[in-house]
Formats: sequence, C-alpha cells, structure tokens
Amino acid sequence: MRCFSWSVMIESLFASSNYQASKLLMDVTAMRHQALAGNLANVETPGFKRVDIDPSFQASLNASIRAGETESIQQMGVPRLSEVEGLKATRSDGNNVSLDRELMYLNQNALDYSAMGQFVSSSLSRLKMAITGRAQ
Amino acid sequence: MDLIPGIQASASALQAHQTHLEAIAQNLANAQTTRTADGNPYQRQVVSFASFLDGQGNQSVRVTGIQSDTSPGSTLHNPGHPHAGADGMLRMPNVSASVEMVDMISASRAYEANLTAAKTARQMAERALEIGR
Repeated sequence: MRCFSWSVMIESLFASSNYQASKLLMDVTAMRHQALAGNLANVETPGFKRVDIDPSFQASLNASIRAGETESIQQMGVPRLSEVEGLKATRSDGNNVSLDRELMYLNQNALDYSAMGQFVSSSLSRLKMAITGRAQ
Repeated sequence: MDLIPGIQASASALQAHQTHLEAIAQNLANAQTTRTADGNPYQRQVVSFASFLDGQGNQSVRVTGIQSDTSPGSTLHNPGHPHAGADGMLRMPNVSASVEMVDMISASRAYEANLTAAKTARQMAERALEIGR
C-alpha cells in the first residue's frame, strides 16, 4: 500500500502538463530535424517538395496545453510529416526548397530541442534535490 | 529512430554532392580535350539526383546517373591543330567554364549546408545525452 502511494507521488511529479509537453516536443523536434535534413539533402533534386511537421499538430498541441490535459498530450504521439503546400518554387523544375530558409529552421529547431532538454533536465534535478535534500 | 536524427539523409546528400563536384572537376579538367577514346571531343558529364524514402523515414538523395551532355560544342577554325578536320575546323568540347563554375558554387554550398545539418544533429544528440546530469 505504501509502495503504491509512493509511486503515485512520483508519478504526479512527472505528470505536469509542461513536463509531458516538453518530452513530446523533444520527439517532435528530433523528427522535425529529420524532415529538415531531408529537405536540405534534396535541395538540388528536381521536383522535390519540402516536407515539415503537419500543421494540424501544433494547433491540437496548443489546445491541449491550454486546457492542461496531460492525458491527451501523452496520447498525441509523434505527428505525421506532410508536404508543404503553397510555396513558390525556387527552381524551374518545381523544387521549392530554399537553402537559407532550411538552415534558419534547422538552427531554430536545434535551439528548441536544447530548451526542451534543459527543461526536462531541470525537472529531474529538482526531483533529485527533493529526494536527497541537497543541491548537487 | 536513430540516436542522431536525420543523419542518413545528410550522409546521402554529402555523398551525392561529392559525386557532383567530382563530375564538375572532370568537366573543367577536360575543357580543352578535343579527342577522347572514341575519337570525338570530350562531352560534358551531367549528374542527376532523385530522392528516395529510406526505411527510417529519411528523405535521402541518390545519384541516379551520370550522363553525357550530347549538345554540340563550338567549332573553331584552326587548320594547324592535329585534331582539326579536312576543312580546317576543330570541334571543341561542349564544356563552358562559367556554367561549371556556377554549378560548382551551388554544389559546394549544398555540401556545406548538409555538413551543417549533420553537425547540428550531433549537437542535438549530445544535448539528449546530457539530460539528468
């Protein structure tokens, strides 16, 4: 019984919607990096269309965070990648990858990843501090 | 998912652009080659790319072929040249140095961009390993 209540206590530390969202966003930013690396790889491929995280994902994640629904954040899973519509072609063959734009997104995305990692890390070290009673 | 995200796509692109740069170097080296093994002037080599989806969901790129550009080159009146025809005209390769230089700049920029993507991926993996430290 005691064991059970302990696990509930620990669980509640990890169940905050911010913590859940940052864990999910680390997966999403890693996946977005994969998409951006793919776009950069195909900067000279005829007819290639750039891919990115499905735009509907951001809307539903924002809604879940605002509502504080930890459950629904956990169940969101990693989003789909989709081709981006309505961009002007940068090459005459229809390829719409712009090198500078991709590099900018790439840096922005890596910073997002670091920020999320920092948040998860500091959540864990706060928990460690609460258990041991001292800052490491 | 790999430990280092997107590294397969970046690696494939580095290889593809390397091949492109090699072809450009070969074209520039042979800009004055008026006779090859088959007796004709050198023909410019063109590298073509295609994207493919690999098993891990990476949009990788590969070289689908290196073909000869069959468009005719210029002809010069140079009767003293050993490769000139009976009419004194010399057929030159269809390599244009300026076209090759422009291609080289765009290929090397693409190469650098993919190298940046690979470095960023590595930094992201390092950040992930630091979690909890």
